[in-house]
Amino acid sequence: MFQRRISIVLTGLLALAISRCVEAASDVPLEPFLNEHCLACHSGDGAEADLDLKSLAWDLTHQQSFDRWTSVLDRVAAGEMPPSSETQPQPGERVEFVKRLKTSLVDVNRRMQREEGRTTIRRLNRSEYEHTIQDLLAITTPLQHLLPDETPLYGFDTVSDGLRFSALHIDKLLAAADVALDEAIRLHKRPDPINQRFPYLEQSGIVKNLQEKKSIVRPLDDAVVLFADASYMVKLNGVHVAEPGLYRLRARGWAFQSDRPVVLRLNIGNYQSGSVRTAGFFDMLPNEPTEVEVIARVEPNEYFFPSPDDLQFDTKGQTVWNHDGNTYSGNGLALQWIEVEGPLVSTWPPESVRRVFGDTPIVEMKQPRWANGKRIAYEVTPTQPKRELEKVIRGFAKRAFRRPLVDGEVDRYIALGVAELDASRTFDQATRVALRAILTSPQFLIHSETPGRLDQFSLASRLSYFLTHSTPDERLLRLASEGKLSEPATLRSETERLLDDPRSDRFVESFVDQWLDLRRIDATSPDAKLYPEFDQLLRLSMVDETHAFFRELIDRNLSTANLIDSEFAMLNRRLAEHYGIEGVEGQNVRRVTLPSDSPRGGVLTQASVLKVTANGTVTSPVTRGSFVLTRLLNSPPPPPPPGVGSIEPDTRGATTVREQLAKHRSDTACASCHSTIDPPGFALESFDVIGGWRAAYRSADQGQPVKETFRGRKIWEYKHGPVVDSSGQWHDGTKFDDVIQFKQQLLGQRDKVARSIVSNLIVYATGQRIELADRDVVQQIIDRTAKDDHGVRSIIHEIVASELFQSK
Amino acid sequence: MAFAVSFTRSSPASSFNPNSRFVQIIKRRSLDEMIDRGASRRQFLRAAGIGICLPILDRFTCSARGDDNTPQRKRIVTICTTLGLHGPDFFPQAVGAGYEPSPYLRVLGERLSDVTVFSGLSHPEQSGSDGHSSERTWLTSAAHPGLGGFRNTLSFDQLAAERLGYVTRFPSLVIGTSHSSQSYTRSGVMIPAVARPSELFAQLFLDGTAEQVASEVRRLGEGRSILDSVSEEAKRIARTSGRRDRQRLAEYFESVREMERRLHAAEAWSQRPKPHVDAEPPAEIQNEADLIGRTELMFELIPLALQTDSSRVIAMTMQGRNDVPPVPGVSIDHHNLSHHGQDEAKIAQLKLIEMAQMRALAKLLAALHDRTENGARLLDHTAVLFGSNLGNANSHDWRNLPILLAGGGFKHGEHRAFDAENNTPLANLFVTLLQSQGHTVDAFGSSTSALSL
Repeated sequence: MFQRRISIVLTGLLALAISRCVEAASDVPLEPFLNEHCLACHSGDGAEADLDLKSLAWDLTHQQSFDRWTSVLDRVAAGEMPPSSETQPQPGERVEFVKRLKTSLVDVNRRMQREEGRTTIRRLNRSEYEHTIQDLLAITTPLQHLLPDETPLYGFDTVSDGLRFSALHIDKLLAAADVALDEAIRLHKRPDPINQRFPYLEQSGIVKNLQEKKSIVRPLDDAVVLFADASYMVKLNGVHVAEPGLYRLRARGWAFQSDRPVVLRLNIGNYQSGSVRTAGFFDMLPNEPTEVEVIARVEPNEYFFPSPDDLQFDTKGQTVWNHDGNTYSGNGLALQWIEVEGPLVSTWPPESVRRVFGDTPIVEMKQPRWANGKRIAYEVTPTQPKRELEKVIRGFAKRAFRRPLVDGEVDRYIALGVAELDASRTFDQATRVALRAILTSPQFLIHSETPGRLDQFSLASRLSYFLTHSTPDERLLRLASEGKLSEPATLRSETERLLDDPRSDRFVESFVDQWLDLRRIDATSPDAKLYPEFDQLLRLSMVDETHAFFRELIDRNLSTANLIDSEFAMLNRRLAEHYGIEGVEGQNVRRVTLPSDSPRGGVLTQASVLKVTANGTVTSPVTRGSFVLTRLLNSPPPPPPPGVGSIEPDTRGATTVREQLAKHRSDTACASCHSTIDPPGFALESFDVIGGWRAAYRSADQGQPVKETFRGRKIWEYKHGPVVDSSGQWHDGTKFDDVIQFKQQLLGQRDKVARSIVSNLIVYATGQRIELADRDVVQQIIDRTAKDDHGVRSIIHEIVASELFQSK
Repeated sequence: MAFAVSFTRSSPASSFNPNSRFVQIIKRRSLDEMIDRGASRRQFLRAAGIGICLPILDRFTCSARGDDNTPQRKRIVTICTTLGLHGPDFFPQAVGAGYEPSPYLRVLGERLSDVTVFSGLSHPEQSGSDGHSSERTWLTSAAHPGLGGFRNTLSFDQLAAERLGYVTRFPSLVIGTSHSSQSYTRSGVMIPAVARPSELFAQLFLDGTAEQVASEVRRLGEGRSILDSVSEEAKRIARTSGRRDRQRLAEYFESVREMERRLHAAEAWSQRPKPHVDAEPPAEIQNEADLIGRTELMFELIPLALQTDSSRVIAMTMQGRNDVPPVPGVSIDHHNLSHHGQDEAKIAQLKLIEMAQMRALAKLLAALHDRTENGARLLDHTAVLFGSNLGNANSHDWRNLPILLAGGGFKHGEHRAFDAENNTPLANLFVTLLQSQGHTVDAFGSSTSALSL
């Protein structure tokens, strides 16, 4: 290629290199500008910012050198370079330089995109892999935890350059395919279904507790009242899950001695991993028996237990364990019974068996045999094994590869299966080996795309993985085979259909969790002394809120400006209590119009975002400010220069983080960045580490005793420390008093938020970062959706309609 | 036999580009092929780097004895506690030999003479996506973990494992108190840690029944046939692909071939009996919050794994948690305590946890001191690197890391203090450790030189 180096002496060569590199060369060369305005600082050893323009190769096909020239372009275009302390170029000179450099770079970028495609072929990430196999085989088996962690790049785990291969992957993929096929090919005897009601009063743990001198529960005629979360005691005995699958859990109960609802959480525990997950949570109403129900995937040997989520303290703020259940007068949860039903299968052998073997006959065996500790009761009985094996493998491969088969591409997999038959193994064992190969094959794991416009099937995959995180369904594949999918009207209506499909929740969750870093929601636990009100229900609800909020923007095509501030929030009772909003009953998240003076609205004041930007004990305006710039405004601040210290958090109540930061900011070197980073963080100081509103910092040591109560109980765990100051000043000098005013001012930057959403969605959907040549596309989409005030659904449609989305 | 084809086909090395980086590995991994080709036992042993242990009967178990004369059999153990160690209690005041030990170091007792304490070491440019992202780079030294286009690099334990290959049953052991580890492949993929001591024990020491072994061998053979097919398909697709796509397919292809080689080695090892040790399989600690208890169980297996030469590289991660460990006197969760905010009560509790961690380390060092190999202490053949990826967890400061090195035949007893303002790369110490295991390495990650010891 054109491997040349810029040199003052060899300017002729440079001009030659550029003119050879750039097809549409303009008349203005770059060197005079570089010579005059750049090289004094950016050349030789010890060049500023390690940018030695003299030795920077002008080989734009080389990624690193392309990126460095792009940053030269951006800094000069933004007027940041040359710095204000140096002689400034004439305005026309700057414009010409920028134009010239940009043309060169964009041309090379476009050519690369044309020749090789914008996105390097990418494999399924582990969550796409899981959903794809689940959808192919009609199973609900969790699989992604079996595969190595992904490496998100540019914020998303769909980016091709992050989706690499290693021997470890191959190892784990073989193992995961085994697990999936084990569950799909279930030819054993139909499991005895569980369908049983367990009255809680008769549960052995309860009976045992009632026999103790002081019990924490109280027996009623047909129910038992729980006054505390005591998982060891309330584990549901008498039910043994032997078969994995979906199970229905039902419960009946009410809030006891309470004029407010009490929360019942239904949990599933796993002995092997020691972990517990929540299947569902519900408001149980005062004195009004309610039946609740949830369906969950359950693994063999897992167990169930109920827990009341908010009953740990009496009115004095003391633990309820000090009381006797028979005389205690505080709130309780009366639980009548729990029912377990499952596995929920309508046919046996299950649907997954049909997905594998198609219409090859399956019969019940007269003489069951034992294999791997299971009684095999069914067998596949093809009349012409080899021919039917081939048919089964071809049928599965076609669905797995998401496109028509290419001549000969499954021959090797068929040969694998045939070899098994020749070695006298059974039909299902032979099929299994071939399918295991298919699920480890490049055709299944890697999307087939070729440079230029995507063909119909590749387009079906791109759309389907974007919006449903999984393989295209039958309708998409049919439209692709009819050659209709790429018709604009069809593509639009299919996009509509998928956005309305519940499977698009996978897209909402995956995109939002990564964009707003919500996968780190459990990275820290709030200090239990400082935040005694934090509970599991709040933790689960806060993430639900953010998902539901983005969902609402899609469903109603609402403006991206709502991400800064909105007149509504998506709340359940627990969140409404947390935000101090009246009149929200029940634990289902729904749209609630906010009071006009509420500081809530938008994503920045959602508890989930406020929690992931704090560390469990203290908040940092730097962390939160950087979050706002990076995620919402799409302009990440540079990382701190090496050797700069960080603030030492101090919760003793004597100093505030603002006072500590002031010292840091008084250093001019720090101030240049921190005057931009910190202001959003200062505005958000009004919210604590779990997203609650605060007028004063909570202090573990010094401060005023707390007079307020929480759910009618006294608070003794913390004190009121120094008063919060949430005022600040933008880089340009504009001041704000509090977060409400801050958000009003931030609305002035709504275009940046639209740009952030457009850019991030493109990265997520296409698996490639925004390249220089893509900036125009981003701008076009922003322009085209301006009439809808940048409605999120419109943005998604425009992305799907773009050439960028429809090309490799 | 259905898999006859794949069992007897030519060795992978013969069809491979001799300039590939894999060749080195193959050279070290070619034991089985040599045996297949009828190589002399002496050749086999030389290739294995085992030296002379000829009189010892069974060609497969000689390395499990510990009585052969193998001065070059050096081990590396790394241990990281991810929530830092309270600096004022870890670092000694004085520098050089004869320093007054800090409260934490005092816990090591007599073994302190086998320890060098470092201050002023860190990986450069670790500001990342969040305060704990330096966890991922403790063994790699890659800059700015988690930011933008960040992709991790090979960890130094895996470089050692790659160089050693299958001279032992396990090229490396990646263990921890949870599944997250600090060991990364060349393509920047985290290798999940074995988190259950009983599982580790079973992998190391428990043989399956004859039926299980046979079924495992069949499964491995099946895996190899599958990989043979899929790699051919990858090659076919690559023929019509562009440059970057071809590179990606090549990565798939190479990963498959590497896995085939591993399955081949595993197949050979799976037919050899595992070493027998005089120890009961550990009982599991169900309480995930019991970081110390779970650590101690793993620590008890480390000397056994080393002495049976099951592996020569072990990387252990003590993953910090958001819950309260059952340490007497501790009532607040560990992560929270690490953000003590200078609250004296919290610091006191944090010290209780960290003292317990130091006691666990002391026990491990004592066990390595008590066991002998070729007349020397196992500790003298085992370099134990212990420390954290955080210098000050309260402020997420990743500089001035608490680091100590024990054993490995180095001269010890000093506090080596490097510049606290301008830290020395921790990777320099990695280079020294790699060299001490006999690898030809003069740089690793952000290293500037080897750190002389």
